[in-house]
Amino acid sequence: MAIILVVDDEVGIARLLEDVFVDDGHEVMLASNGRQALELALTTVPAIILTDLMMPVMDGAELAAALAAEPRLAGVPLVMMSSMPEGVVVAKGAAFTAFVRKPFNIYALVDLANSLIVR
Amino acid sequence: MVDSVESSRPKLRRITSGIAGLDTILGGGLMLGNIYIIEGAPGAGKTIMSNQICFHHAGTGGKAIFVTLLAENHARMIASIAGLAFYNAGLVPEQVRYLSAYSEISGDGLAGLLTLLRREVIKQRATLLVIDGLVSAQASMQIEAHSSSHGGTGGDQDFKMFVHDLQEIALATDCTMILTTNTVDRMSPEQTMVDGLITLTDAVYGWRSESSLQVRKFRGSGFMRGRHTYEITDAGISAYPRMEFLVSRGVQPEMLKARLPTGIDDLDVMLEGGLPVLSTTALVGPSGIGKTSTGLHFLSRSVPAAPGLLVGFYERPDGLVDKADNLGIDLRGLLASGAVEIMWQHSEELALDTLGSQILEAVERRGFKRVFIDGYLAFRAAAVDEHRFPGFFTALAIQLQRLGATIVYSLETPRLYGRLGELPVEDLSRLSENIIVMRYRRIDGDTHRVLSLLKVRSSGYDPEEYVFTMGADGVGLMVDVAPTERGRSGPGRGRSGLGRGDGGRG
Repeated sequence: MAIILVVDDEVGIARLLEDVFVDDGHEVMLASNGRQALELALTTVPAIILTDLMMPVMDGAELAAALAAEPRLAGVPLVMMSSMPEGVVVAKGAAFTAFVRKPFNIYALVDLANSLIVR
Repeated sequence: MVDSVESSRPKLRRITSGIAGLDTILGGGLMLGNIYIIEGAPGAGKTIMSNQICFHHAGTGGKAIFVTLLAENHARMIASIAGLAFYNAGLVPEQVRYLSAYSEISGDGLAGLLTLLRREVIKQRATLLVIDGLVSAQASMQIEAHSSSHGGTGGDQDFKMFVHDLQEIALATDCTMILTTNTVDRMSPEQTMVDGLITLTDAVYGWRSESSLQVRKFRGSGFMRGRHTYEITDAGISAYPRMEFLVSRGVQPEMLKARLPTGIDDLDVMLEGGLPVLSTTALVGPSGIGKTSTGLHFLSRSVPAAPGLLVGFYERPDGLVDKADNLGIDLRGLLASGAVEIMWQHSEELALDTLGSQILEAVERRGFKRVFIDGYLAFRAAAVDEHRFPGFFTALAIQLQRLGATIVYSLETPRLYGRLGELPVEDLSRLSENIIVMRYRRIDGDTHRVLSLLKVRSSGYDPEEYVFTMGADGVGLMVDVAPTERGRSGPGRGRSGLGRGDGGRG
């Protein structure tokens, strides 16, 4: 069991990931933008963060930068999810552990998350 | 960056429905991970269609879940489809799984239903999900909305959220989803959200009924708009793409100069060698004049390597064999050798597109080079809308030509004697590249059968009118009517007496 932080302004995707990870026995925290996610992560350090790129208030690239700057969170695996190609996301200067192109395949995403949690 | 799941999933992958004709209408099948609604009145075939898609999908390696929302007995439903050819008991329950979500939806509403669907799709790794009876879910949603104590925003809004969440599941799992529902008059919220909408209709025309389906929405590719006939038989559902649409998508048949003998030597002389290959010819004339006999002569030149097809609506096969005997044509032998096949139909209870599709399938299967349709008016009786028939018939002829067939058809005229009078069709030229007119005529106090050419595609022809006889010696001994009056006879027997056509400009 691990604590997973899911960050996505698309409610349907966030809810789906929450349901799937909860069914797998994890605890899930939900945030709809980067700022909410940062506040939650500072309160309870998650085992992994899965974030969307394009979000209001603070986007995924900004969240990645904020996490890297925070010593308590810098080591948390970050999965960046976007409908943009990986190269576009990299060009924004975002640092992440893994990249998942949307629309994602839930089975592959769950496998990836589980593999990053146990590391 | 240690990992990357750069979506390896190409966009717009499809799954085939397994329903003959439907995949053609959809441009190749349903899209993977998309959501579709199949709507129709009770009895229209929604449940059969969705079950058929499930079994086809499972039969090709997929996993299907069929969820009912009503308090329905699955054994009863399975019993009702078990007699249909697509049903395969060996695929149940591993590849096709039947589940009831009645208790979830009645207990926890749409949220409970969504949880069940998500868990089952992921647990089974299902790639096709059918939710049968969406109306029940909508009714539940309405109840929920009215009794909600947590500030529900109203029925439509809740249902929109349900469909939205379902879309996320479909997309993330590559699971194509089909929702069946009764037809509603207005565009419902879920119809605006889903990726495709197929409406099944069973309409009554006089004493007959005809089923048609219409794809009203289909995201991701083009599709064949308008109505298409479908039928439910022991094989399941078969759909027939509208012939006129099919023909609009292909290339026009070649205009070949080569000629095909008609089986009547004198007629070939009038035609300057025979009928243009890959053309359509109308045999126009009153009852009993010899249209079917002329068609039999046309087919008599068929051989197993270049076979002929008789599509008959009037005379039964045994009657045709007798008739051919009287003409000196060994139709029995032609049938036995495979040089000729007869497709005898009673048109009035068959849907037009079903008949057209059967003819096309036969020509594709055997490669018929000569097709004789006897006759136009009986074929037209299959049309619930007569105004559609000329366009349909023209499209069928073009499709047959594309398949390499030269077509002759008979068209009966109401007047027995004299000039043709008013034809039972409005635009004969559009229907026929070549027109052969046969009629009775009084000459010197006696009644004769006479024949003339009204039009021949891109060719010169003999426009004179000739008396003809028909018998065991064949059709022939033609006499040029005008020259007879002037004392000459026979096409090709006095070439100086033959008139010339206008080269197909008519």
